Amino acid sequence: MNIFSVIDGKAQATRAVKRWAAECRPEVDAIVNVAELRCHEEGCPDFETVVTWMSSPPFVVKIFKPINQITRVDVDTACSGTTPTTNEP
Amino acid sequence: MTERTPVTVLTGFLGAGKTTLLNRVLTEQHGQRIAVIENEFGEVGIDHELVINAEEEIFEMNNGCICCTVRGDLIRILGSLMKRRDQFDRILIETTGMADPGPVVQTFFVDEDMKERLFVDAVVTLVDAKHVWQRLDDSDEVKEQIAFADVILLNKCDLVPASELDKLEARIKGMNGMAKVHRTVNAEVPLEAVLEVGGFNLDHAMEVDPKFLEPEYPFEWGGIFEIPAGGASFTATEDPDPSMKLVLIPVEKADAENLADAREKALRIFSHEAVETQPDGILTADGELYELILPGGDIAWKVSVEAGTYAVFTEHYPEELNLELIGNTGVITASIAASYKPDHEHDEEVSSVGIEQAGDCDGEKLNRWISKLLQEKGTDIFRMKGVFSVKGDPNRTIFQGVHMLLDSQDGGPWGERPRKNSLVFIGRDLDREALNASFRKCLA
Repeated sequence: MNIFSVIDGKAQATRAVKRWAAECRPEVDAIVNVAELRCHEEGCPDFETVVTWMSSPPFVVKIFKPINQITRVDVDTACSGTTPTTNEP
Repeated sequence: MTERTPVTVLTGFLGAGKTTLLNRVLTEQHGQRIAVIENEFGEVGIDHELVINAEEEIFEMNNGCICCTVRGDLIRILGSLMKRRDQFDRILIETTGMADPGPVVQTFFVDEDMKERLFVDAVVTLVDAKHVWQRLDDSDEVKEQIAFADVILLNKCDLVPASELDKLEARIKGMNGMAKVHRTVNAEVPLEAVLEVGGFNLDHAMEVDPKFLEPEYPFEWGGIFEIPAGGASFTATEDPDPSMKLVLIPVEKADAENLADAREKALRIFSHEAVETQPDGILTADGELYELILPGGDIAWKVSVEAGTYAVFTEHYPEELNLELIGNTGVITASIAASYKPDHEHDEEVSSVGIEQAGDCDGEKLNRWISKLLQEKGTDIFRMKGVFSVKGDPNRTIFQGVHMLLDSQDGGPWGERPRKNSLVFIGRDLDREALNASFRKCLA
């Protein structure tokens, strides 16, 4: 992984993920935060995207892909809880 | 991209003068509409329509990982504030005196959508010049607020003698060599000094004070000698250390320019594996780094080179071991010499390390180095910024970061400028020598 690589279109991809996330849980009226983490800590995956509904308490799902590779299906699947959301892949 | 809204983060212990500065910002005629997010119920009332109270809510996106820790309250407030974007020109966040600036700043780095609409212009830290001394020793929060700062206001300067202020400023600069320090009374400072800083702007990552980038060399001494036909010998009579590294480099003549060129070559050679050389061993000038073993007593090494002019760089001062170069006709003295021992004797838990290195890095080695560094030390690195010259890339790579979050961009062509690498780290328990040595291994 080149840590100096600059991925184009991330803001646009982030907005798309936010939109899908909001549509997934329309009953929740909360700001959605989407963060692609390139964590350097031992044991962390190279990429993970954390989607957080800033409700009280916050609701978090994780998708182990860079933001610009996430599809609507990934968000739907993560929201439905059919994939682990807090464990590494 | 639409125009991004600047954000100023105001930190400082209770009583340092944050609210005084905030009131000045809000009342002076600067033509800007400012939205204020405040954590503390102000010591002085603020009459302003866009003042929002926040509750410090630390939110870990990934359990325990410091780079994934943000401020949940800010995400919510900023999310709703941006729906009223037409009502203000900039945002000012006043943190509590005990707040860690890390999660506040990271909040603006983790969400790309937010990054496209907002940017941190600067972390401004107010320091109570009279009362900060004790806290500099015992408060992690104060140390971190200073470490994160782009601008530091040494406030209440009227209560402290000038000599004390000099000491305090020197100590603060030892901790954070990147920040601009202003001495103030009643937080009176031109507002451009706190509102138009560009501290996180990658275009400013190059603007590191050259005085701060005092080079760190792995050798303490260098000199140029004329070695006659038949060679010479190094002799030593003292052994303060078990060994000492030395390199011999041929040069054209004995002048400052040749010594400086040889110094850069020596820097590279000192990052190689050293060849252990026992007494009576042979030294050449073919780019080898020698580790002279010092068992004690009078010892010598044969210098086997053609007659000519040579630069010698030694890990320690030659006089520490009575090192002399002896030719056929006696002692050969250096025609020109220089000392490279830097004055970096700061004894602070939080400190700044500047690295400046001419030449190119190997892209892969650099990538591995910084990944490993962030993995091992990211928690302790508060801020970093700089520019890399990567071999084969005609453009500069500029970067800045907070803990383990890195932001980088193409900095445009080097053009006629000499290619070099300049880096600054501010952090806790940073090992200056180890950082310099490990970075040198990235050189192409």
